[in-house]
Amino acid sequence: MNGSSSSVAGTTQASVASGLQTREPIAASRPRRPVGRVYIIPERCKECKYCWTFCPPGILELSDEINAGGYHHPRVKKGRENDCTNCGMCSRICPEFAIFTMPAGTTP
Amino acid sequence: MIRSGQAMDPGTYFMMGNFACVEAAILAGCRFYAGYPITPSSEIFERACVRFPQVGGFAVEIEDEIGSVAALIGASYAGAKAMTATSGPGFSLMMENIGLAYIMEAPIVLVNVQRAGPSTGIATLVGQGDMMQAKWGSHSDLETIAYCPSSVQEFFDLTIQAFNTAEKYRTPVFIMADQVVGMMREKVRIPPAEEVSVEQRKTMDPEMLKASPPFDYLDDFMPMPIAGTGCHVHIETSTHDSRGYPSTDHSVSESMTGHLARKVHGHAREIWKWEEVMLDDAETAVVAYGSTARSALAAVKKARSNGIKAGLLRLITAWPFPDEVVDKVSRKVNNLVVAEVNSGQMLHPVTEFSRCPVVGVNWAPGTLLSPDTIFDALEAVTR
Amino acid sequence: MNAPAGTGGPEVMVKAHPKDGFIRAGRLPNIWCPGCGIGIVLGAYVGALEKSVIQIDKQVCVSGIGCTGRVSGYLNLDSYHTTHGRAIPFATGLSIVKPDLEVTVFSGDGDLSTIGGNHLIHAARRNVDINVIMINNLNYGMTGGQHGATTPLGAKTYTTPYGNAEAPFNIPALVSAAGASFVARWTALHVSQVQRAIQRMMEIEGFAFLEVLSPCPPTFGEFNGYPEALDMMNYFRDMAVVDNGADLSKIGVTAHHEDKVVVGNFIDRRRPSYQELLGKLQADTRTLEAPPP
Repeated sequence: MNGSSSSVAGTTQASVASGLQTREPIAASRPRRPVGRVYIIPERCKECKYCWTFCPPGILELSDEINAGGYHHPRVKKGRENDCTNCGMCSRICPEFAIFTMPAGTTP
Repeated sequence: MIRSGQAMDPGTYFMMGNFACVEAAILAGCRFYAGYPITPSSEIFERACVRFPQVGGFAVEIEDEIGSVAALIGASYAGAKAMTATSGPGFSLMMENIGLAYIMEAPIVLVNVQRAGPSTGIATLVGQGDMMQAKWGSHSDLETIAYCPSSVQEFFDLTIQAFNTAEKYRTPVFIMADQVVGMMREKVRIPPAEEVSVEQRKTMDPEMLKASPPFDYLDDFMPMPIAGTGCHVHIETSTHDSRGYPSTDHSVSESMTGHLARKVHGHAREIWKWEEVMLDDAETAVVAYGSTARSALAAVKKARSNGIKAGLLRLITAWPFPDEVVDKVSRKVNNLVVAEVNSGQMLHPVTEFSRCPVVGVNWAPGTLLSPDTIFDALEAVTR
Repeated sequence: MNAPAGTGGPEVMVKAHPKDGFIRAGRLPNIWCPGCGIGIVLGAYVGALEKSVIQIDKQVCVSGIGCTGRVSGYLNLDSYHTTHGRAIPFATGLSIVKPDLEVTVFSGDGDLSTIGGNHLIHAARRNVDINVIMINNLNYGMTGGQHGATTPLGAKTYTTPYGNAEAPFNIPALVSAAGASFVARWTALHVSQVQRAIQRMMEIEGFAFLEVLSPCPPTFGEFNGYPEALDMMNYFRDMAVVDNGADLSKIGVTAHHEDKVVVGNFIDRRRPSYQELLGKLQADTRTLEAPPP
């Protein structure tokens, strides 16, 4: 690769003009990110609300089912099943070892 | 790392009781001391600080007596034989964690060089006022084991005995010495190590846990899970079930407290130690322990030379209380005289288990009971 | 990264958690209230155990009395539940005899800094090589919500019904002044930082201390404007400021809605640990000559 900025792959005219050397992802039009699957142990849940409050993409909600303690465990919102990014926030913020995620590949 | 090291060369020495205690502890395999200075026990701490590092052990100061006993129990669970020494005020502070050692079944040895109380009292002078506290000082019911030495040699011998008893019964064991025995210097024979019989606690192998839970109490003497050996047993201060977890069930309370009591009480006859002097034909006898027993012996001899058939029952274990021994002696004599430097403590169990009348010869703490005072009591009961 | 394209799916109901091997899973659900932060910090500790190079048989947990004190009973380790305030000297004895053990004291603010305050400062002074995780819920929770040494001035509890007339300890300042090698404060919301702090504590030699602020909804929370567990977590989210270089004298916790909470890894310094000094002392004194009696 020579030093000519306009010939470096992925460099835009605008970024060169502003004096910044930035790069654009080659596949910017089709970004990929991790996908996760949510696993729940319903009898351990105490409905503290942390998992669905602090889930960054906000894909969890309270379910209608209650466990033996009378608590509603969480569930994935309908239509948001592919939106889990496997970030693990629910898993970390749950005080009960009642929820975790596993990697399920990446988006296509 | 605790390594075994050198005890003192075998031989006969002229030694302070407090120092003899430390040398005995080393021979018994003790390599951890955690304590706080308090008169008249500080020499034990000081000597431990000199000697324990020399033999591959540790002697450390903890900020108070409460923490000292906590450190002993931790050290015990790491596998070490552990001890401390104190006197009245420190003994009081130790009470909660004595209960912790009891419920955790931790072998530890605790020396109380008793002094005059109550409260700060007279730090430098003798008392025998903590005897009941050794049994009842910690809250709730504990079956405790307490030895009372009357000489420097006996302080030495009973220290080794105390460690062996602690290891076998996995329980805190007290040596109820006093300022006189602790600070006096007497001849003491230190035997070669080969002559000293040393007990080691039964330890748990993680494999055992595959077959049975850690606290099923099928044996009075349960194996001890030592930290770092892979047992992963939960050791509890709360009343706990066979898995070691806290429980409020009455059946669990019965099972656990029953085991802890039975462990000692059920083997009391093996633990009891006492000495009988001139009791065969005695018509009256003194019951005494610790340094007071020395005065009592002199009083008994004076009584004999005055035509009184007196004898001495010397308690070497105060707890568990040798009730059958006292009962047996009480059937032979017309009365018992319990001599102690307090307002009457061992007087009570002696009275409880005696068939004959019992009187106390009591003495405010601060000096030894004199033989004449005890003799006067013997005369009075024989009149 | 050539990971296969995948799709998500609805939640899956299962009976076990990947970290169950580290806990006594048969005892779950745990005794703590919904939303209590203790379970979160327990999870972070488990995460640190998993990441640590130290063999699990060498990891030991010692706790005291109180809600946080119950953590030791949920861990699948050599664990010790000891008397109120005395976990630190217990851990000291354990650790002196077996210095290769990784000993972590895990207890509450009442246990460690109120009744246990004396042991806390002395262990820091000696630089005893142990880890201490103190969950601070600003009161004595287990016994129903009485005030302790960390209850903020003016706060209401069952023993301060007219407002607390005592100023609380500033714990990081106290422990740092006493000589600790590592001092950090995070909240139950800052889970990743909590886990990383615990991981760091397991690496270092010396007295390592972590304070973790936690909601306590039915007692402190109820009386002081945080009735739901989420209220206090939102307070942490909105008002926590990360400042590793903070002036420790200025980071007291008021728990007022409008006051900031300063968190961070404040102190990470090195001096010989108590165990190192004792070991050297022992090595230097190994003679076979006993002094005269």
